[in-house]
Amino acid sequence: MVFSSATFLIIFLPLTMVLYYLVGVLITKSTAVKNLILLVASLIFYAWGEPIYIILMLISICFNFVIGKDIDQSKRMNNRRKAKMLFVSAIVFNLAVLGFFKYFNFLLENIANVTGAGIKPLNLALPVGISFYTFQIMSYIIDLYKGNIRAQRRLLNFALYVSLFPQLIAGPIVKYKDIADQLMYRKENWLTYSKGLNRFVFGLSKKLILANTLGSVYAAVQEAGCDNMSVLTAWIGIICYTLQIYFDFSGYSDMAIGLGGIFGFSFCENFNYPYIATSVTDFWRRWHMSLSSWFRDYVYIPLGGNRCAVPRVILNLLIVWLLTGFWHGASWNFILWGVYYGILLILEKYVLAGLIKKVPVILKWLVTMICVMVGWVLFSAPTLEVAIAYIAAMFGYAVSFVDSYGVFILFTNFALLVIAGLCATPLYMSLSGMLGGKKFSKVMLAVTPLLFLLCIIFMISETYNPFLYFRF
Amino acid sequence: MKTVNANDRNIKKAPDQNYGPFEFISAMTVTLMLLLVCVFTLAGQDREYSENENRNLAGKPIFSLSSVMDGKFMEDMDSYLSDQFVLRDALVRTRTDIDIFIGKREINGVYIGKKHYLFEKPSEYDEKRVKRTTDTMNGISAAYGEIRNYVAIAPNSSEILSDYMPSNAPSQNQTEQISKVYSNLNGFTCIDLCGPLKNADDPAALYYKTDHHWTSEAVDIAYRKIAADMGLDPSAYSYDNLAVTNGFQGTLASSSGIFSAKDTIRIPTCPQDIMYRVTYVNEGKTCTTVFDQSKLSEKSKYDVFFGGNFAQIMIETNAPSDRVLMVVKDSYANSLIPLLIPHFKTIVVVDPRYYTDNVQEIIEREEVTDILWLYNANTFLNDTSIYGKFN
Repeated sequence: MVFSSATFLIIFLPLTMVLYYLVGVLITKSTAVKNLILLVASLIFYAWGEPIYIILMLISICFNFVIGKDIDQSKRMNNRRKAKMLFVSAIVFNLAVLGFFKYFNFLLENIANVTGAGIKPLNLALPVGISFYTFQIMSYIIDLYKGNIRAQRRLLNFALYVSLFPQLIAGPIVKYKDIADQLMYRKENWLTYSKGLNRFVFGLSKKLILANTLGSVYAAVQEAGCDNMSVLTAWIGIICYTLQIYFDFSGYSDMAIGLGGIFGFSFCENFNYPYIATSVTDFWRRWHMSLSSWFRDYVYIPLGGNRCAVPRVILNLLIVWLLTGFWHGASWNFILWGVYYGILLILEKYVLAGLIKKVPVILKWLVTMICVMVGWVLFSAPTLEVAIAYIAAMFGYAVSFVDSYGVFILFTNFALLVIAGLCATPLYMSLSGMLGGKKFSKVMLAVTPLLFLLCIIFMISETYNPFLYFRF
Repeated sequence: MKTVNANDRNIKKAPDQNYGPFEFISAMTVTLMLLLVCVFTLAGQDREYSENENRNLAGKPIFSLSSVMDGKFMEDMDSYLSDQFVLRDALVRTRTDIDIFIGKREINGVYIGKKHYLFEKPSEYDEKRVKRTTDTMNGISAAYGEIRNYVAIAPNSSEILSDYMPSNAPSQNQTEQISKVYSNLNGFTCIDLCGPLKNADDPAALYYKTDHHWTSEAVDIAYRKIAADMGLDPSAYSYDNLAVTNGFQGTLASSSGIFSAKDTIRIPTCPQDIMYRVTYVNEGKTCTTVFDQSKLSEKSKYDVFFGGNFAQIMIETNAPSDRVLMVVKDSYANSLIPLLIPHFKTIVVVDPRYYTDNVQEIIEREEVTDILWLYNANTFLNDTSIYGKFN
């Protein structure tokens, strides 16, 4: 199920909320009951999209729950060898599951391409959310082994941590250590509820009103193809995609954080206005923060981080960014995208650091955004050839600079681009500061319900599907 | 409740005191909306058919183990809930209003023009595809030297009403495209319809606002030009156009979801002294009119002409003529063919998109003397069905 679907909004969410508050909060007042309701809801939520792969997730939950307890116990009994062995087998298991379902096909394809052998790809469907929940589980196992946390004693709570539906499918990647207390004890009140629901509506609006609308412009540009693309069209297209992916992803995180709040959880933030970044380093401090912090804590720092000699730091950075790219998907595009950022970050750190200090902020922002947009071309193009042709078109290797199609989509989407651009900046926060808390919240009184109404309009109208003998 | 995350420190957050009674009220309003939508959608009466979308709406999904396992149940549930959503049509209408308000001028491949005119996206000229079609046509003219060959390709509204197109909308020069097609053809009388239509007194009346077809006004002009080029005498046949409906909302309205305008369909009267019989060959149906009144109460009212598109239709008349005409056509021809009835002994109408056999068989059986290829530019340029039917 996705948050922006009719089933979720019309049935799943109202029903879960009513059950949770009625039975969990008002009648039994028991965390165990509340957790049970959320666990059942989460499993239905997952099974709705993946009726088969839910078994895989359940196996993963049980295995890691048991092995986690064993690791904890061995550590307490000072049996280091056993703890290490268990830890390694847990990591191998989790990576093997992820590797098989996400990357095995890619591997086979490449082996077939290189050797020319007639290996048939397996064409396994990727289990939804596997990259997210595997990373959450690994944060639990690694922190257990490092002795940062104690093992979760109840299967119910551990299963809920892994499958909690607000962040199950697209993050944020919540580390176990950040949420362990909340699984055991949390207090819902009207404040967390109101904050949560309002945040959910903001996230839903980002997804349904902005991201989907911007996405259709980029899709049209892509469909028209790179061959006849003007420079103007290429830029409008990639600006639309840049905004789309931000609103899509950060909207999803907002919805997750908001839903968490509705049920009394407090999740880490995932985005902090990435498009006001003035360097690539800054961008990655603001974009998908829960993923970068995961890689920092569990890969970069264990590798030695930046406390080594320069060549080793560079190697560490390259490894982390190769993995970051590969995490996004089993395709060369993503690997290239990750390495691209690795190189940019190394350049910023070691080569351009002095220069960057002298350059005016606006120019730094512009260069950063251009780097980010080129990155999104790599990220979004179906093949490398298309990506290269698209980037070439952006930088002048095109049939013309301006064409009527470019002007047409610029004019007919101008208002959309301006609105979306403003929404990607902290303008909303500044307004809140300018107007003062009370006045601002009076304005917001009308805004959230209105946004929700708009969301419904956009969600339903997207299913408008006339039956036509159009060509006849 | 504590949040332990190093990243959180840098984040500007609206201070908590902002979440006072107002946020509570707005959150409660949203909660109420959620619950109301849930209740209304589940308790409401299911609609079976959507007039605007011209299709049956999804009904309650059927629960079974297999439909759950392959995910069909979940998909069906989603379409059921959105199809049966309260005030669905009104919500869709509001969406198109919003889109137009913020400046969008293209919805679902339809251009939203000025003065309520909607436009089909003009087709591009694909050299290879067109050449295959014109080669097929040349093959026919070469094989039957004694048959007179005519071709008339009508421009679409984007060409004639370019002033009404949204500013900067990508267009095609159809006059050029059509003459390029004509220059590929050998042994044909190529009938220019662009000129006469462009010179019309009231170009705005030539096309429907909400549909991709041409109106009876355009057909009038085209008929006179075709008749002149084919050596027929249009003055022998005087007719009136009678309005049969003024509530026509065609394919472009449906595609875009914009139902702000309505069109009038007119049909020509038939001369008193001409009798004819219409046979729908594949359907085995015979009648004495080319009009199907029942279509006027349906969505696609343009189908009043011939009841729509059929593979092969024979019209036998008592007209004082020895000529036998074969029309190879798309739906633009449906409204023009009625005017040709008084001029021919027999008219065979073939629509290659539905006709699957070899057309030569008809030419020889009916002893065809004239062939008219009658298309609109968008359909002709995209056609892939002519090729292969004539060899």
